[in-house]
Amino acid sequence: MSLTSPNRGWALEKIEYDSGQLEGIHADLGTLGDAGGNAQIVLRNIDGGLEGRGQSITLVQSESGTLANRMNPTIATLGRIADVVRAYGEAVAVHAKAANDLIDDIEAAHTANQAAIADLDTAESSQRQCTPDDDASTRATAEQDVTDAESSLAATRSALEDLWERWEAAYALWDDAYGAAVAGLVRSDGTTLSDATLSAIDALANADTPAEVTEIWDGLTDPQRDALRRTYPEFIGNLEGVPYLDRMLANKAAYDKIVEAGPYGEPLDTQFATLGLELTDFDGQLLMFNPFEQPQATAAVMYGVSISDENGDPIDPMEGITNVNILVGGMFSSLEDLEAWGESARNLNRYADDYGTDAGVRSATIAWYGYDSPNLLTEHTMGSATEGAATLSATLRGLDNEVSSSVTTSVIGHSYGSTTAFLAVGGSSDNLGVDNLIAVGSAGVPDGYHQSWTGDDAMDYSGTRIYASRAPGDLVARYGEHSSFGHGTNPEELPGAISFESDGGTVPKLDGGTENGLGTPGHASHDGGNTIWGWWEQDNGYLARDSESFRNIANIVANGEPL
Amino acid sequence: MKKRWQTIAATAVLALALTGCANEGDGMATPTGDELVAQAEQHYLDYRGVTNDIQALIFDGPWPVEVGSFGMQPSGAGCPDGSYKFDLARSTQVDPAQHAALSESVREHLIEEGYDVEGQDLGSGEAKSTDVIVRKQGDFSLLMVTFIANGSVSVTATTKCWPGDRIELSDLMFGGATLSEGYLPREESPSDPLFFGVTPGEPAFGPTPKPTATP
Repeated sequence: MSLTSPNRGWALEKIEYDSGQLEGIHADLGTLGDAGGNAQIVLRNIDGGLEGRGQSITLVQSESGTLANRMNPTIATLGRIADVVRAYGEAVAVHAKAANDLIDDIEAAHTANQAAIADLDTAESSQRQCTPDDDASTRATAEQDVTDAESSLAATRSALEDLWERWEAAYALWDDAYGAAVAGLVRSDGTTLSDATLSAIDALANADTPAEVTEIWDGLTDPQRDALRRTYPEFIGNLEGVPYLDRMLANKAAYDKIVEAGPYGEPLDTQFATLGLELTDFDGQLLMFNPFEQPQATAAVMYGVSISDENGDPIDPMEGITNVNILVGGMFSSLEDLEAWGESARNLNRYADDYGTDAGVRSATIAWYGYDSPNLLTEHTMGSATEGAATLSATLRGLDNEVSSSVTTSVIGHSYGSTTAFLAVGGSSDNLGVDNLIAVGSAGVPDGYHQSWTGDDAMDYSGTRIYASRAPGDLVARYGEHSSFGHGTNPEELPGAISFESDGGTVPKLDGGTENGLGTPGHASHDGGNTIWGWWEQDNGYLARDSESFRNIANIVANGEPL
Repeated sequence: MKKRWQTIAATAVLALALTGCANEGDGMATPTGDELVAQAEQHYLDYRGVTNDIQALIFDGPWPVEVGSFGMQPSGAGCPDGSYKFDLARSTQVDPAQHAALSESVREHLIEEGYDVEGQDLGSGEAKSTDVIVRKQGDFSLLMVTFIANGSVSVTATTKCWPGDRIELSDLMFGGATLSEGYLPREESPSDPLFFGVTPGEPAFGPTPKPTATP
């Protein structure tokens, strides 16, 4: 059941938390801090008490003392993070639990209230059917039924309002605690900033929407914005509502800082190196960067935008952009595939611009790696899609806030990426501003089983045009759909969905006559990329630039229809 | 008999798998350092010679350049580990009335150069497009010229994969420089002299200090 609170407009949703895990993290941080303290004692003993003479002994003593002192800020930071985790753990145990405990009661009260409304409607209808010819007893009974129904409705309404009020109060306290925790983590390194800047961090961390973030950001002074970008690039870079230029600069700074502090072992080092080449060699701009997200690093890279003009002066990257496309990969996709997806993003920009020359189309495309993509075992379920949809919808809300409504937004999902994309758009309680939702090689999109299992409303794609294609030989996509628990809907069968071809079709021969064109042979997204079957279906993936499917996508993006 | 059948099947699968993974340089030492750069430069000059000839047939003036598709950056997309390729794209506008003749002249040129050429027509009206395509021949994995009825013409080329570490090669060619900061031209004519690599800290195509503030 999808309900929205009457006063604050918050979606009635369970707050996910794990008190035991938070307590464990707090304890582990305490242990780390203690171990650091013990190490300091040992180092100071060496500094002050190591016996012997000679240059080496003196050097060891001196280095030990220096190292012990250098550990102070780290140990202090660990202590501050532990305090934040503990405070949030305590708050969440109280307020989130209180809010969650009310959800069943609210849903029951909502159902009772709906029944009371229906009863009153029935009673009023019966009363209206009374005629002057009816006897007094009949008319009195009808009037009494209305009175009783009104009384019942007043009672159920009051009970529901009371429950909503209590839930909103508990939810608000949890929301405040969450904001305080985010702000606390941002400030945990003990960097000295002005009170006004610290206050800005609190405000940004507590903002509930990208629009609120933008308003707060716009209200900051240039030095404050500089200070935040310089000191907390990882916070600014991922905060939806901060202008894209500032986010891209902040994320590049965060990337440089992270790489400098490496190496981290595989697969992170290769992923970071690949990402670095996309930024330096291929003009990608880093829109989102969570390098240590578990179980895999997440990021989003935008192609087709510039952050500086010919003189090197900063410019709004979205200036002149008419279309923004988001590519969402499926099973096994990770940052290691970024080269192939980046190439597809650049190709999509080019072909969309070429097909849309008359309309003045200028495209930008985001290669989005914002979730833990599933493997062969987990792709049957909605777990990865649910997590990914939450992140993707946040990205789309931020994009909707960043660009004007005249910009056409298209989300293109391949395989399980379409499952995630359709859940993000169709399952969102608000309008994410997506114009085109395109599925290729779909592993199925959310179905009735998902709806009945979660209790959520049916998917609502209002205002979004749906396009889909599956190659005839794409057995993997069909297997994904039919073996799933929750994504068993073929997007081509959704009401109003437009199917487009990916089989190559019949094409004219250069020397006359016709021949069969090259279609997408299997499930792959690219040439040689993201295929579980390997070599035999390497070419003509759905997003390869010579594939019929890709060219259809380019024209949908540019002109709103397949070729 | 059953065992023999299984052996043959297993051998066949292995042979197919090995065929699928084959790329130039298998069995040869992977080049590094100066040798890697020298080989890459020769590959680059060779394939750019072909694409420049095609571009010249279509339009011999300046074509706009997008940094990410310039074509000089080594990429591992679609290549086996330890190998790299180049990927180029250019677009321009040409009077649609000339497309048929230009398409034919590109096709004839490619055939004269020894390529087998395919074609592909897609769409209709202003979005109708005609492709002249070379797949998996010579230095190319895919070479494609696309004529769209609205006047757009694009030349795109993806080379085959050559042995060599793309990250090492990029570092040797560019030294970590951000290429969008003035290291590549913003437009290029087919007759412009080709160059390979850049000098970090000395962008050859205009001043581009890094942006630092919200505009």
